[in-house]
Amino acid sequence: MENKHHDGFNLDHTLHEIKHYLPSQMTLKDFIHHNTLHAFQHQKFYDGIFRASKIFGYKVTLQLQDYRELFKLKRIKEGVIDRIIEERKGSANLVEWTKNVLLKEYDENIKPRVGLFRSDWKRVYKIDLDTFVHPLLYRILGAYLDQGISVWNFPTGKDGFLDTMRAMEKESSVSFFRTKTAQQLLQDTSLTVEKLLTKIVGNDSYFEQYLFDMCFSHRGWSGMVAVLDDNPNGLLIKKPISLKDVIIFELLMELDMLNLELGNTWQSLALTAIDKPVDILAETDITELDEVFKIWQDAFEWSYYDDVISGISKNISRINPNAKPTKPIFKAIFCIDERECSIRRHIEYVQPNCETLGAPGFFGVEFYFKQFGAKFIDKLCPAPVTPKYLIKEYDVIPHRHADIIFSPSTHTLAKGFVSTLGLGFLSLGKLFQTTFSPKMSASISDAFSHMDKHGKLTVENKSIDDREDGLQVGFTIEEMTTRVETFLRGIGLIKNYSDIVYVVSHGSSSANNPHHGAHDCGACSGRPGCVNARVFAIMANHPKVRAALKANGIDIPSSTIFIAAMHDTASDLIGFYDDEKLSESHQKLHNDSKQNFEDALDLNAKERSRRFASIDTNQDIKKIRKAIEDRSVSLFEPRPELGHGTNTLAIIGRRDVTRGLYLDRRGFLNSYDYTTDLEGEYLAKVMAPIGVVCGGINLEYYFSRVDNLKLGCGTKLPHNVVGLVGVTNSSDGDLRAGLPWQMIEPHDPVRLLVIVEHFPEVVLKVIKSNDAMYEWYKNEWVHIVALHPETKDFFYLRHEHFIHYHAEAMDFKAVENVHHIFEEAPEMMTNHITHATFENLPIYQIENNIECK
Amino acid sequence: MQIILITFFILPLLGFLLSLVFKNHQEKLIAGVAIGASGIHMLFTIGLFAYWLLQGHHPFEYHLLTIYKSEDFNFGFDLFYDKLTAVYSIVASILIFIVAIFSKTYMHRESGFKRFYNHFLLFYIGINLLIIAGNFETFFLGWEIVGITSFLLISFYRDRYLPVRNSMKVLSFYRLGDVALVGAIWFCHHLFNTNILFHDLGDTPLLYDATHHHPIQGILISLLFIQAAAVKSAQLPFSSWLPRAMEGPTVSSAIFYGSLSVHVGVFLLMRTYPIWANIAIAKIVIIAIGALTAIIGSFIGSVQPTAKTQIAYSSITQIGLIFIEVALGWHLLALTHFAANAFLRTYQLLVSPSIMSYLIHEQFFKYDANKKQLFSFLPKKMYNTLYMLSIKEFNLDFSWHQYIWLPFKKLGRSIHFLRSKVAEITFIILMLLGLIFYVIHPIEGFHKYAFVSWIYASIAFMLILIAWTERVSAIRAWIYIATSQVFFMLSIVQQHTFENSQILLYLSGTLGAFIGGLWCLQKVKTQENNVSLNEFHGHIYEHPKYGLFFLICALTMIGFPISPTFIGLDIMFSDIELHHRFLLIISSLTFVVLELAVLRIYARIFLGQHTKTYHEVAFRSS
Repeated sequence: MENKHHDGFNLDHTLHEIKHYLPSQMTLKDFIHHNTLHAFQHQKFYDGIFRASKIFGYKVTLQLQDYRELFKLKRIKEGVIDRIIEERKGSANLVEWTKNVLLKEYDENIKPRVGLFRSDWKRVYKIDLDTFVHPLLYRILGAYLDQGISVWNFPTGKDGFLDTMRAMEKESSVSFFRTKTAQQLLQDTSLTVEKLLTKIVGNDSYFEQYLFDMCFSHRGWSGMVAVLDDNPNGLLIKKPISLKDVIIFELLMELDMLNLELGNTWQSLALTAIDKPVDILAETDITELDEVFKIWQDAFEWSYYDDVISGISKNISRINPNAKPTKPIFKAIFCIDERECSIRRHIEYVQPNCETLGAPGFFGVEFYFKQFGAKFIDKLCPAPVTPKYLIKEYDVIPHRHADIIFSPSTHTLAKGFVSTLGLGFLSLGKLFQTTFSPKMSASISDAFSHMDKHGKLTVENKSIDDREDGLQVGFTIEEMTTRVETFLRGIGLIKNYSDIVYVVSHGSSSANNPHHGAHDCGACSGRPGCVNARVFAIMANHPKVRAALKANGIDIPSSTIFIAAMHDTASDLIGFYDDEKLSESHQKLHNDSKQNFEDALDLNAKERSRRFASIDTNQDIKKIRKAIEDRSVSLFEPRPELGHGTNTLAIIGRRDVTRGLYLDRRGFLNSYDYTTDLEGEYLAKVMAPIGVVCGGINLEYYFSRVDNLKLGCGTKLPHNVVGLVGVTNSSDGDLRAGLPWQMIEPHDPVRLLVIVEHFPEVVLKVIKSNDAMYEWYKNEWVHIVALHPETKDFFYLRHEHFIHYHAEAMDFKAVENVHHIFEEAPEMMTNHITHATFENLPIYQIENNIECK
Repeated sequence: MQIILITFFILPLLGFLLSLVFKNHQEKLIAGVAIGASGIHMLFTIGLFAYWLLQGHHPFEYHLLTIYKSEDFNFGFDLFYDKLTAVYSIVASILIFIVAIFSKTYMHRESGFKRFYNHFLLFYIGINLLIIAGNFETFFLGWEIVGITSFLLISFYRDRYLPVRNSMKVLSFYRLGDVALVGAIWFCHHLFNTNILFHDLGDTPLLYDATHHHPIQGILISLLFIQAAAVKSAQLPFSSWLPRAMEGPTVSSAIFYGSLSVHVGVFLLMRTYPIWANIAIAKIVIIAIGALTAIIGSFIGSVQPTAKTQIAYSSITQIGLIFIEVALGWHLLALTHFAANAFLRTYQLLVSPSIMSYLIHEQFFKYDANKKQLFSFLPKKMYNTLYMLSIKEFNLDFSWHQYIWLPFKKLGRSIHFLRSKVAEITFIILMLLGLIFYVIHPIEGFHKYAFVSWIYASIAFMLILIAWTERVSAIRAWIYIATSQVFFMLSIVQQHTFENSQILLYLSGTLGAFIGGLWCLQKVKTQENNVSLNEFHGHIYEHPKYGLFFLICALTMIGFPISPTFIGLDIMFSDIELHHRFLLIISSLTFVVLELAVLRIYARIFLGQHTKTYHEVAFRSS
């Protein structure tokens, strides 16, 4: 194709750039946490975020006055600030910079680069294009992409957005445009973005800037379109759409409005521009204020890390290296999810002779899952992985209830009349029922409904030719063996087996919550993890797999069985799978262990309740448990659980490192035994998802916390679900990406600290082995510390080298009774950071846990 | 026994006043007050209803107090209880009670927790006054309170652009309802030569005589009532405000736009039924409006891709049917339909966030690519046309902007030349002359020259238009508004002699509001250096106290029902004679624009995105 425009403007390049910087959140049903500012990840953390701020106007740190207040409240430690100033500015400048940091006044206003040029329409012509164009554009996009809200669906839509609009306009007596010019231009198939820009903007040196301005004036919708442009499979009901099509359509709408409102009195925008064209993405300066922010943020982070490191340091000093391992009563593998950090602590508390492990909650088995009777499949593995396998559910007695309140007939005229009269008084009953006695119903998303407990799964592949939807149905013995072996070696579970090994996945039930996907298992693409746990258990129990494993050096005793389970992190209920036909001894053991789980869940509920204003933490523990369960099915409860709020740590090592430490549900805990992997061969696999999954979660929380209005989606309360793809605030609003206020309230915006128990040189070698992985650490989007397993010293990564870290001596509290921690914990007065942070408790040592091994 | 009716608004009033004393973080106390008040209220409402049924269910009234009395005007506070009151009060109190409980947890830790409950309780007062009202004056009081709380709750998220803009949009529609209602009341007053009590409406021959002997006026009155009702119940052609009102927390959208506020129009129609029941044209118009809304509303509703706008249009579709039922006299059905619709839409709105997981799940198992679409029997061209019209909301929103408000704005801008020194001095001279003429009557019989009051009224209207379209200085706009008020007063007093107490009543409100508002604006100007009306400033972030004080001044200035201005305004309006049509029209237009001009200043200076960006500020598009 002939290149008509000269070098100044290259549409494909510009589109590529715009897409890169737009929010990349998928539709809400596939909520997957990621670094909100992933586009800047090739830069150092601070360089990237400050640049993002200056280009797009995001707030990327707390306010200066908040940091200073946190310092006054001793949340930020003086010694840490000094250390950081010295490190960043040199000891010679300590006094000057201390003054800057603590006292100097700065102008903190953010003046973004994007949007300036296009705002000239208002300056020069007093016309507000957004007011005219946006609401209708959103309506059209919403209706086009709609996955099932509207009763009357968008006509056709198989040929892509622009062609559909063309066809529709062509055969209609009305038009979305108000001038003939725009209508005719739409029908012109040779219409290009450049052509329209020439009319509207004129000078092509402004084109890129104008497109950035326009797309970022509604970054939510632009982002959704860009995501669907690249991943058309993100929608159940396929709606091909491209950013280019939408840009053309929007430019046409703008042209239409300009012609209608201004007639012949307007000229292309470049003619009246005051400023020269600006390279939107050009580098930005780092100001003195930015330097001050760096110091504060580092100090805030290290004030906490320092406690953690000294806590761990003290904890490991108590380990007796010569203790002989005894056979535990049971072992339980949980997801690394920081919400499982507490349940592990509690189960060890109620059953000191058990052992818990942590691993990414898809348990190393990646596949698509087809529920019985479903017309679509679900991906159940981390987002970047594309599975080749399909697991089908069969032998299920379907018993799904419908909720007639959502019946489309209430929205039509005649049927609406009948159903309104009929359902109206039923609704009154439901209103009372849901207010006074909430219970699980069809309108509530129930984690346990993801898979039928009594159904069967096609785990084992029958023949290589057994394929469906281009996927292999089930795994072969060899494929199963590889997965089980890799997984077990990764977490160091290759000896000392107990009779039962629980494989505990997690999911989350919640009511009235469009963001419920964000509460499910991140390692399972935002779905409940029960299928993965069950599939893994079936594989690991398979006699042929066991035999193959034995040949590979992993000898699992025949008395050992794996039992899958799922923990509902919102309701604190647990369900077990395939536990009906156990041997007598296993059955007895299982029954006892189930009781342990129940007791641990009581404690877990109590621990969580301290953050919930609606529950009195001092009341009887069973009542708390009931209240927690009710919460998960309460329509009026915008906080069924707090998701990953407060996550800050990722600890990769043996449980001994953290067992007995109270980390306040802030750590992702991944089991790994360096003694079984001295060269770090499996460490590379273990570390692979840490940055992208844990770091992604952490940064999403970070950015949603520091700028909840721009990078988060604001408070949930006014949200309006659009097309089952996302939420907006109102009928005329843009899609909102990011996390709602209710999820980030308790979160302290600090980066993730990864602690790896291995030799620093091995850790460095491992993280360097993969560029994508190394970027996270090298550019400091997450911190990493190596815990030397022999000297017990800590080393932190600075300028690509591990440097010895001296923790400040910490006043370390030991508690005997965990109940006191929860009952006496403070409750935030407001959700402002200087109040909210005090809900996050310091590190404690739990006394009676120490000897238990 | 009748005095028990005051409980209807005493309880909400107590709740409201009590809720003001707490601090935002005292959530349990604030919510407790609301739940307590509405809980007792609900039991009382149901109890009274039962008792009333047993007593033979005769309508009864209670005259509470007379606020103002003259020979031909009696502004009283009257209450009335009948079947209509019974049904509405029970539905309202149940829903308010449920929402009060629901919100306690739902609104937890919202920075506007207290503000929400304050507004909610104020609305609670308003809706109850309106339901229990025994005359139009009392009814209008409740109506206005409901209107203003609507504005305040739509702009609840006042630091964002869209809620503020849409609250102004909704307000502009509400004003069309308000003015129609005031006009209708005023007409009634002149037609029946007395203040009507709802109790007397039923079967008095007076009513029949009046409408029978003055058929044109009877029709006019009915049409005005119908307009007021159609606006409040979002019927055509006013429908497009309803989906745009869904800006506040889901709970407030549910109670306002799902259930109570949006059914106020139906209430008004049923209340005034005796007035228009014998007027065929009125019935035809109501049925036409209802039928059109039902049909077009269902078209628009069926293409909506968002949960809340879908419910909004579904609701007005049913209200359209209720309008027809009312016109046909099927009041029992209408009341049942109202109650059912209110309960259903409230519930649907409250659970609307669930739609995400529920419908995705539905699609997962039941999706059928070849599902038969609505209207698929239509020829392709008609099919597309109908679909596109529905997406465009039949051009309703655009047309109101383009063909109604824009011309007024253009008119306003075209007379901006009057902001010159010469014009301003002329205004001052005219104002002084007007006052002198009024006080000392130098020319006998001067007031008979109608054109004098017309001139004053026209100037009042021009001034308010200028204030409404002012872009540069809020202070100038504020002064123009006050001046316009003075001219408005002068235009009426030229025709009449009022007691000085009446004038004082009115002036004390206006003057106090003017000075207070001016002080706030000056304060903000000295501190922020910019009070232009060209953009939203969001100064409430740093100056919440000035914001609140200015709001109170603004409400007083526009004659909000609790202010002295209101009573003064009401009396004066009542005194415009029937044959002064020009004066009436101009006054009504002034009345419409006044509130928009005043609250525009409040919105632009104090609400919207904060101009300072050292803290979190939402994108304009969000």
